[in-house]
Amino acid sequence: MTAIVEVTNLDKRYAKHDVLTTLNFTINRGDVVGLLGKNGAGKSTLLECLMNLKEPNSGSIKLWGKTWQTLTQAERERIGFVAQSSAGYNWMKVSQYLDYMSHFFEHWDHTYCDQLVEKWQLDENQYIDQLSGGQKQILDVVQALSIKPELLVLDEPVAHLDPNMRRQFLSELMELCCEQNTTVIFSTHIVSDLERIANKVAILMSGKIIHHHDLDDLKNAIGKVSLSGVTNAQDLEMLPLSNTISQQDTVTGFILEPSTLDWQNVVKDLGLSYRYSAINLEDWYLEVAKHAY
Amino acid sequence: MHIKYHCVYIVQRSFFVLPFIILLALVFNWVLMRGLPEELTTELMLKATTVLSLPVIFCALLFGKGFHLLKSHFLWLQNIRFRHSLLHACLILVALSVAIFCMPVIYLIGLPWFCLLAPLLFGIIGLLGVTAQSVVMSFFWLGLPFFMLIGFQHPATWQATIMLAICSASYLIFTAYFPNKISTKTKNKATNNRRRQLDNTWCNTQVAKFIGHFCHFKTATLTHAMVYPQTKYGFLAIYFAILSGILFWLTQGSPAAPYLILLFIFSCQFPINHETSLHKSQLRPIAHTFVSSQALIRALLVTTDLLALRNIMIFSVLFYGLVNAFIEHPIPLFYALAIWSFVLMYHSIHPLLLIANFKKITLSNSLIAVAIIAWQVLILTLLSLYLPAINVYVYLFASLFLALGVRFITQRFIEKQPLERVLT
Repeated sequence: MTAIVEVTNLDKRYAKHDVLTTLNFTINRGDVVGLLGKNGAGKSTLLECLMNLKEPNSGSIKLWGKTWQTLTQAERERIGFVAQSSAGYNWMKVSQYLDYMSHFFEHWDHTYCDQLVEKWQLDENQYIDQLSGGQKQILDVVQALSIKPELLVLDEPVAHLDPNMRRQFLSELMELCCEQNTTVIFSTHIVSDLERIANKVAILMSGKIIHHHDLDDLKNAIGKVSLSGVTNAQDLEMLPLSNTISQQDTVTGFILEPSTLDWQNVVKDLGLSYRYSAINLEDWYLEVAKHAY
Repeated sequence: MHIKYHCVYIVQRSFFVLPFIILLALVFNWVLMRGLPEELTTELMLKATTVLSLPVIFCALLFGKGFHLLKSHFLWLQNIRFRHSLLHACLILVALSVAIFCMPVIYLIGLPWFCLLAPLLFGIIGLLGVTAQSVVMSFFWLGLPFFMLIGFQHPATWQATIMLAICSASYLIFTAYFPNKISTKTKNKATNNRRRQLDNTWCNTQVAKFIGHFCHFKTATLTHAMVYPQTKYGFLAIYFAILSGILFWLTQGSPAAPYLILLFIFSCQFPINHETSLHKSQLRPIAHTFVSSQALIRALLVTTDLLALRNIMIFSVLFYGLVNAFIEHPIPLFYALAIWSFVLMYHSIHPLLLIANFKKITLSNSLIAVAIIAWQVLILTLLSLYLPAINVYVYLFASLFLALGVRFITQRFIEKQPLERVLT
């Protein structure tokens, strides 16, 4: 696997408030990484640090193994970015905006751009200030995709879209990214979106990436476990259980990350009986958030 | 307590322009005090009051912007305490402006105290009028104090003018305090006003859309990402040149005219920084295509420099053309050199404005403002003290080199700043 993004020991402070603390993170070629985190967790800060819009206090960020200072112009122009706030340029028409932006990227694909505009039903003659919040976000994504990026950084790209449009838009976006073998990192609050399109999930909490897993491995592993007949609390330390609640001789807990341990056999060896139920990603995220604070 | 918060909010909104107005007011009040004879005729008293009224009007218009934003809050319509405390705050601020700008001079040169009435009334009209319900009425109320000033300067018309000012100010105060007693449609109008004010760049965007029809990007530059097209093409400078030309012609050597011209010069340049501060976040999707953060910051500086220079060129050429065509008196050398100094000052401190936050009073903003004021005071004091003794050409070159030196320092300082500080 070739690492496209390598973040090492990243620290970012605003005044006296630590937002990111010794954060380590790697994204490989072709990965679609969904970045989850609470409001104010530092998702946008991390993405803006990746885009060199914010300067870290310490640590390093490498793209294709190079720092921002050593990236070539061609490599810089292979990165698409959609910021959290929408397009701006309110006085321009959609066509003018895309024409304007195309001049900053040497490999802008005009035909592809026109196809995207048509596919996502943007009116080229409409002024940007007349577009809805969702349409503005789509326009931003069109702008970012028209350079056929190798790396696409999206900061809450679908926050203003309605559920129908969001689903359709995301699936089409991912198809396009797969066709181009684009590496994607996107932040979101909506776990179902992440579940639908990402192949990796990362959770940012307390300034660190506390979970970074392959989505399929994660979905197969996570669940809620109720153990009966527990007499010795120390037995439970061997098990990968979090957020446990004890009630008489029954202990209920969650498996929150993939583990190499065959916990079912360990439970049998301890002479306990168990009941396992799978949980969805949203419940998992809520439990992780609970566990972290 | 609410009144205090409202006052602070309104002053914060005009924080960055206020020091310039205070400084200019100080300079011109000083010039006024030196130039007036001991025996004052009615005409001289009226002219002196006119000069004193100008900074109050400009302050009131500035405060009007903060007032406008607070007026767009839904509580303006629903909560009488909110509305009244906001209006109290506005009136207190106008009264304070009058006390700061006018009272000391009136005391020192022995003008009668009723001369305070004119600036107070013009200030109230400026502040409350600028928030009128429609664009047309806003322009009407915005222009009214300036036209009143022209009428106020003549012994034959000043009494009628002051009566008109009393009526206008009373009407505006009454309609602001008791909107429902004037019109049953006020609520709808106010709601529309609120909607319009949600985007306080509405007017600029409409003009930009019209001019945008003619924009073709053969080679895109940063200009359109930072300012509206009309600013790019210097329309503002044309507007100010014509306005100041007319004022100069109407007042024929009034002490107020050169004062206005300096303010217009400032107005030609400052909106570029203001618009840039509003728009520079638009650069985020393309910022990474620049070879380094320094390269982007340099490109921003060069673009805004060129725009300001273009504006000032258009203003100067048009204004001098108008003055030469219609006025017999030449513009005094002092003002010509003051304009030159002002342009140089602007460009020397311009990089600092790139990181200034125009909406907040913070330590760094305050330091920038202090640096700017100190720089202006130094230049204008030197100019007024040593002008008779120095050669004009020596002054021109010396000020140019000094400005270049300061520019070098400020630009180096800004280039070392992190990009987030510049683009935020």
